[in-house]
Amino acid sequence: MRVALCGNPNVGKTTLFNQLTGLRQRVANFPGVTVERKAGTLAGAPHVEVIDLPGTYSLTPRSVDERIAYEVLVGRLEEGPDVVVCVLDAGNLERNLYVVSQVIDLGLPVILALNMMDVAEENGLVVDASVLEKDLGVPVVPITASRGEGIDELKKHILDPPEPAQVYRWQLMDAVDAKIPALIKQLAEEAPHVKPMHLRMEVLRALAEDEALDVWRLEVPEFVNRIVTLREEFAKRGIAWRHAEVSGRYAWIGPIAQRASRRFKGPATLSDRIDAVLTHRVAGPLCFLLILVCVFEAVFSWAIPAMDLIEAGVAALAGGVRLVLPAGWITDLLTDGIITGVGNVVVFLPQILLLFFFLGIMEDSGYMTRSAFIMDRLMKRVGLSGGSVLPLLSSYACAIPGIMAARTLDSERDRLITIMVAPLMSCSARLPVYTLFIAAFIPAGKLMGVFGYQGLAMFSMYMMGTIMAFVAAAILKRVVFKGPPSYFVMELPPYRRPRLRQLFWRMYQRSRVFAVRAGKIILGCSIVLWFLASFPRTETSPEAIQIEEQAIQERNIEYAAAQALTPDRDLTVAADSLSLVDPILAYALDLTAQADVKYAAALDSANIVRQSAQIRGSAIGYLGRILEPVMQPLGFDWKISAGLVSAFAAREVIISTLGIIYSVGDAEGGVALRDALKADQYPDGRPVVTPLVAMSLLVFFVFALQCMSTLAIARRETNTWRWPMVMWFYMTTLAYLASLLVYQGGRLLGFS
Amino acid sequence: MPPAPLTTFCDGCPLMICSVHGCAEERLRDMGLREGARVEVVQNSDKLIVRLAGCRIGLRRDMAADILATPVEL
Repeated sequence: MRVALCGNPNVGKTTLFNQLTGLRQRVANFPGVTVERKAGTLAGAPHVEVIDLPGTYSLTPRSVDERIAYEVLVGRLEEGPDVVVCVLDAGNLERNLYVVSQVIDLGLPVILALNMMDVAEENGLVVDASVLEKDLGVPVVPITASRGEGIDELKKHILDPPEPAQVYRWQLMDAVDAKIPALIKQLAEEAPHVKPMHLRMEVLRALAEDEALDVWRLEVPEFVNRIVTLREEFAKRGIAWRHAEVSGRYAWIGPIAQRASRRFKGPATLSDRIDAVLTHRVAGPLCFLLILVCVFEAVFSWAIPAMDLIEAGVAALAGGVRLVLPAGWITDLLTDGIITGVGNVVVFLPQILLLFFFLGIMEDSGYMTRSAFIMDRLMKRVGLSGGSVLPLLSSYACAIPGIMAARTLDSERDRLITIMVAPLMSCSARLPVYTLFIAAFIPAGKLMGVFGYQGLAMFSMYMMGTIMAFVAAAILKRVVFKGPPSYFVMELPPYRRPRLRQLFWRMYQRSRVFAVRAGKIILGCSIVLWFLASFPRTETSPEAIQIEEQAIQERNIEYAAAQALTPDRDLTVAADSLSLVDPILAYALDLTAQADVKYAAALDSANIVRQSAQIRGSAIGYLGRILEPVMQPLGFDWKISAGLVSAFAAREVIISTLGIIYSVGDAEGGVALRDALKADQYPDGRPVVTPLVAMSLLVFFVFALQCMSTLAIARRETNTWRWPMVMWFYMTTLAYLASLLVYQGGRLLGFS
Repeated sequence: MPPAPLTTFCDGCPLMICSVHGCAEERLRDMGLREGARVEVVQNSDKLIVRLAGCRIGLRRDMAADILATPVEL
């Protein structure tokens, strides 16, 4: 048995879905499209599958979501549902009943779940469910999904579904209605696969909507021609054919909604009072900016203790493995390749969790839609609408959900432009790179004692990507995707307190995606990179041997000098109790201890020289050196160039690569990557990574498209390789030129 | 009073929509902003927020100018 949840956006459908399934759900895509399909089994009834359809205002195909909802309901995409639960916001009955009237007309058993009665009452509205039940002829169950109230009653109705209600109880305007039977007959003859129950709906959709008519253009051209002729005839007679269905349905449901609800004028709601500030034309954008600054400051500073803990854990694990396993290349692969490689990326999980936490709060509280509203003025200037803000903000977490969220946009042009610029928004995969280089090269002080320089630097990275996304959108709109200006209309749901359980559940799901990615892609890349960095083997390094020989000689000389002071004592036994009473012996022992420390330090530097020679002679070193002449104008040496090559498939891989390049053979796994970067020098003693080089690299990462998954999802959403390729070329060129400008401009201005 | 664009009414004014035009008229009707619907202007500034039954809808000023309405008693 299959149950579909259907209803307007923001009516608590997903909350109800979670209540019904008890979070036992599978997230996939609908077949052939990338619209997310959430399904699960009804808690306590494993034979019942519950599907959460995309939120939709109607079954008229004005966006991809609406088309999907309709096609699932009529069983075109997959097997149709046996029962439909329509979720309604009690606070806006009339508008919500519109889609209900369309679902009833599909001839399916329908149950209404009347949600948010409490919010409606706060807004000065009382709803009588029994009136609705009587007038519509379907069971109506009042629920409060967020508190789990009414769920058991709803389940009873699902398990014992009602008979389908009477269809088409509303009246179409006479002039249009008179033409419908002939059209139904023609469609039935020309397209016999359409179920008789759906014929009238198909005809009405084809009459009112160009997109719906286009679907039939190839299959039943005569039917399409007849509709086109009919539209012309209606237009000549001054008949409003395009909204005949809308008017007819509202004429039926309007009085029902009025009878079922009683309105009393209450005081301005809390949402109104909050909106007076947060959507104010001046205060609104300022608050938005302030919130973003605070979020990035928190993401940067709050995560540090947890990151330190993970970093220490990874180092301890690598050290532990070295103690247990015998020395050899397999142990090196495990510690320097796998543990260090994956650990260097997993260490950023706390920051990513915090970012998801704040984005989740913005979504659940209703502020995300306000941000679309207040940003519309700016978006209008670049030729988009505020609707594009939601996909773009989602892209801060990851460009993939951002690109997919663009499907809610009505305008195809806006959707394509949003997809093209979404990867410019700094996603969570860039966060590790930003964090590493900002922590290493930006001082830790505070501006005016409040905002840390590092947090502000992080914020400016995000702003740079965002501003460039707007500039790119403006150019694309004016040059590539020309057309009339887009429009903006959006429902602003009441502010709600985020439910922590659901918030944490979503954080868990999103971070699991990140962790699995780290586990699969980065683990694989780390292993490959370790091999590339370790082979071919450079067995000898004359410079290292020379350092070692010199160290041995110096140590022997210093030992001999100390021994000369006390010829009758054995200085290799350091804890000689006589040293307490014999100052000469104590002095001699001190000299040998100092000689040992110097010797150990010399061996360490010999080791680093040997590692450096190994990496330089390895496959990855060779690749990096080939690229070095191209990347040198940006300030990048062969190591960073090798890192950039490895990050082609996924940005965060550069961290593992640099970790492997800088710490291969480091027995303690000790020197943190940022310290190693700061300490690295060219043979002439100049530092390899200066603050200017770090800035140039950061700018490169802000603009470059280094993510195979984004390209793949853009290919699926645009149904062609053309746009993903254009996206890759324009972003890579932009990244190179911007980095060149930063590095060469910085040098001209005298920065290092 | 003859119908006037939504943009001409002040905050808190209860209205009845008389006609809907413009490039997004079908989308507006889908969202419930249709002829005969009762709305209240919540915020009238560079954009408009109107209350329709229990929900708030935000829309651009140029779109709101294409919606004609008359004041009504609550």
